[in-house]
Amino acid sequence: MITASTTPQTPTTPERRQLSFPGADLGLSRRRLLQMGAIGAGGIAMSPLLSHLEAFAAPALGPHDPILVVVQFDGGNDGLNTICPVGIGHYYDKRPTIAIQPQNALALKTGVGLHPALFRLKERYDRGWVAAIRGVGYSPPDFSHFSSMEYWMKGWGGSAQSYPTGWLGRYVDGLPNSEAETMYQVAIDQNIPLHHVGKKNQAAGLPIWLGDAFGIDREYARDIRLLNALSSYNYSSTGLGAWGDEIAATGQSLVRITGKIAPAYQGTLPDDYFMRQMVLAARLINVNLGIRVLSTHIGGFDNHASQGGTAGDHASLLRSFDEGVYRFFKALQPQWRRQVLVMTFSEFGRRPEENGDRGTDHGSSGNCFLIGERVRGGLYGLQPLLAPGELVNYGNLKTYVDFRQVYATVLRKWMGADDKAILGKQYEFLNCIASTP
Amino acid sequence: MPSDWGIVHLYRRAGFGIDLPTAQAKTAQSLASVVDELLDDVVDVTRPSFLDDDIGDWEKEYGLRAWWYDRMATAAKPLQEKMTLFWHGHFCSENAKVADMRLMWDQNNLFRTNCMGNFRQLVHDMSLQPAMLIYLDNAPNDKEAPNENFARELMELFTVGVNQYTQADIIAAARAWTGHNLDYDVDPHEYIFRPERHDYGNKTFMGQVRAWDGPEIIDFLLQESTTKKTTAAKFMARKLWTFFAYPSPAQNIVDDLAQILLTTDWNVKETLRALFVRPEFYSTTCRRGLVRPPVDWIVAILKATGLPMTEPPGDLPHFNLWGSEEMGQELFEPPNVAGWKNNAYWLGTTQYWARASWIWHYLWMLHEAGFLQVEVMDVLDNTGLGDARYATAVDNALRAFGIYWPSDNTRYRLTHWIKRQYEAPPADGEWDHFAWIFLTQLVVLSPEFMLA
Repeated sequence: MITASTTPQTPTTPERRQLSFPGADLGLSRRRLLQMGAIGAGGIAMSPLLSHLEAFAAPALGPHDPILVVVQFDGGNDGLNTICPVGIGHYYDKRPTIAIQPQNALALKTGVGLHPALFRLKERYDRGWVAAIRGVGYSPPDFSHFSSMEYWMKGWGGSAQSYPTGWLGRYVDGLPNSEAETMYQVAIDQNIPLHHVGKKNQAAGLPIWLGDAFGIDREYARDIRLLNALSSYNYSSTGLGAWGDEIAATGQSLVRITGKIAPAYQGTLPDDYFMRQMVLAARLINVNLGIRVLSTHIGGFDNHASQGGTAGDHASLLRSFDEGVYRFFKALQPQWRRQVLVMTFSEFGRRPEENGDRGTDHGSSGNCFLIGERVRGGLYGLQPLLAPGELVNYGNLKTYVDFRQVYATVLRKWMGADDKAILGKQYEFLNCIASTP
Repeated sequence: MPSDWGIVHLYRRAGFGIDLPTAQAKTAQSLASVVDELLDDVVDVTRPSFLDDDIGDWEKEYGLRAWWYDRMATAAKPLQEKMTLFWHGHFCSENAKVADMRLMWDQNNLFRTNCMGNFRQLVHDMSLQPAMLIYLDNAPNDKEAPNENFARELMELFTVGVNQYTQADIIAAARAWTGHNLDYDVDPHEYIFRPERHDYGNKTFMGQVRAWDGPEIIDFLLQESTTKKTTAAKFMARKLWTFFAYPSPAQNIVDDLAQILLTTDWNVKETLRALFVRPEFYSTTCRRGLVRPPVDWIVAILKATGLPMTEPPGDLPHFNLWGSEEMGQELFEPPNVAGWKNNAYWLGTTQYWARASWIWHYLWMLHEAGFLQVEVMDVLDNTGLGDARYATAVDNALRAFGIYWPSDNTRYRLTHWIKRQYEAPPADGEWDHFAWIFLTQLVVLSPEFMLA
């Protein structure tokens, strides 16, 4: 029902530092395909029998289907203060104000400790459910947020693409009926990021708050009629070009999606922006809409100033991340726990040497966490070396693991997919996934 | 002589819309003179006094956002506000980081007063404003530990574009910008040059060994170096065309506009003049080339309904600001330093959904304010008109939202739907009122209204 306007509870300090690459350059060709699909579907929808709002979700998952939750750390997470080389002299020399002291770190092994804000992750690590991969990046590094994120999101090692697609999008393109499925991949509260862009499939963007959102309440026949009318813009070509058709298709797609997701938004959600996304992610998995890939994001890692050590901006972000992952697994119904893998990434790590503002500038290698019950827990990659001779590209860390090795491992060992076809090249696997679900 | 649709199109892109009679009256003029009117002198704007009130900064942010929406909807010089919005998305700062709306106002009003002036001067001016010093961390940039944030984005996003420099150039430029800091001891904070923090040493920037100082970097990129200057002109020409016309313009359009930027020494007004008279600007590609960004879309609704965003005194109806963030475009909070993108960027389910939900909240308010009573409700109730009343009501509703030449598809779908409401009403009552108010929902989500 429509009610008087009220101000909904939205996060007070919204973090929207996501990266997305829509734009006509890559948008239209993909969208033309979609549009053709939509016209086909429209022909069917014109028939009176099917003019009702049909159920619309990707095929439900069976007990052995994998789900991937990708957590994007926006702004360049400081790998050295996440998995810290505790007790190493060079680390303290380079970071007089922000280094994590050995007594504060959560020891993983001699000389390696987690930032203390990650104490719940440490509990999970101790159960063997976390692979901590260090020194992840590519060489030579690009220090631009946008170029580097693009590189990560494309995840492509082959020859130049005719238009950019993302590694998750290419994975989903290979699933059955991927042209038409709108719930295979979901990005929560952001523009569709490049890694979800496929040639065939389109990801759904879902909000973090529903309130009196349009399309949710379908109690009255008049509401259903309104939704049908909105869909009807897409029953034939709009005559307004590709973007006109895309607008109409988006409206129809919204009508379909809203009918399916409402249950996930019932009940309270955490106020913290990232935790909220993670609890929603768990609930969306619980209602089994057929989602295969889900992405969430946590922003603010571009800590050029006031980064801090055990306390400060970076510690707050890690705390939010830690609690968010904890809440995710708590909200997830038990039968899903063995089917879910959480993967973190960021566009780059940060400079080993702190700048004058208790912060760090853009750097090269960072780290990835893989979290889930089928993970072979432990440390992977190499703790980046900090001795003067070991630093390259203006005082930056070397790369010990190509980020596409992480993707290849996830794609092959977790999703059972053809990593070489999706990444455009064969990358060496890491031994950090015990089995598919 | 320009056509009426041409003028409507021009005013939708260069402004926020125009009513049909006014557009038709302008068809007697030449296109050049219509464009001249749009480009006419910018006006000075009074600084909103609430910025100095003893209220929270978020209240000021909310207030200034509402103020700007209303200004866009009612400004006598709409292109001035459209260009202010363009610069806001180009030289981005987020108040989430700046945390002082007085400084954001200074930046916003710099964009407003210099919106069609000299680009190089604008780069100089915005660089030393507190909002930018804070946002890109030049505020603490010190020779002992240079901060690269501003130096990088100045090149990558503000002038020449990515890959037109090396990491060594960024390090050199960061050193050049040291000492151009912020005086935190005054309120509001002000720019201050601190010689003791500035690196006076030689640096190698773009192959030139000099004792570079920050502003000299700008002059090198936009004046001294022919190569960089040309690259920057093309970068800006492409960006302006993409903002006003459509993405991925042909190279000759970019080259022509870039040439004007170069020959006029960065005169933005002359570049816009050339842009708005180009035949490509009136092509089908252009008319269908852009999805309407959320701020444009909201402003068009404010114009159509005549209701303000700023809370009027008393109990009068008005719109509210919540929702624009979910639509993907929140004033004073661009998503990151690269600003907003276009087209598909606005068509994620989330973003589209936020628009649908936003207007959904106001349908009853519009109903109670009597919106479209005469144009739609009275027409629908006039059974003497027979079946023609359905199409007439639909046409009137579309026209109220600035859609003067609807597509057959849109017109057919709406007429078909509204006719059914009357002839086979749903059982749950009040269908006539719902037909009326839901029509607004469907019109603002129609492909015509969602296109720029």
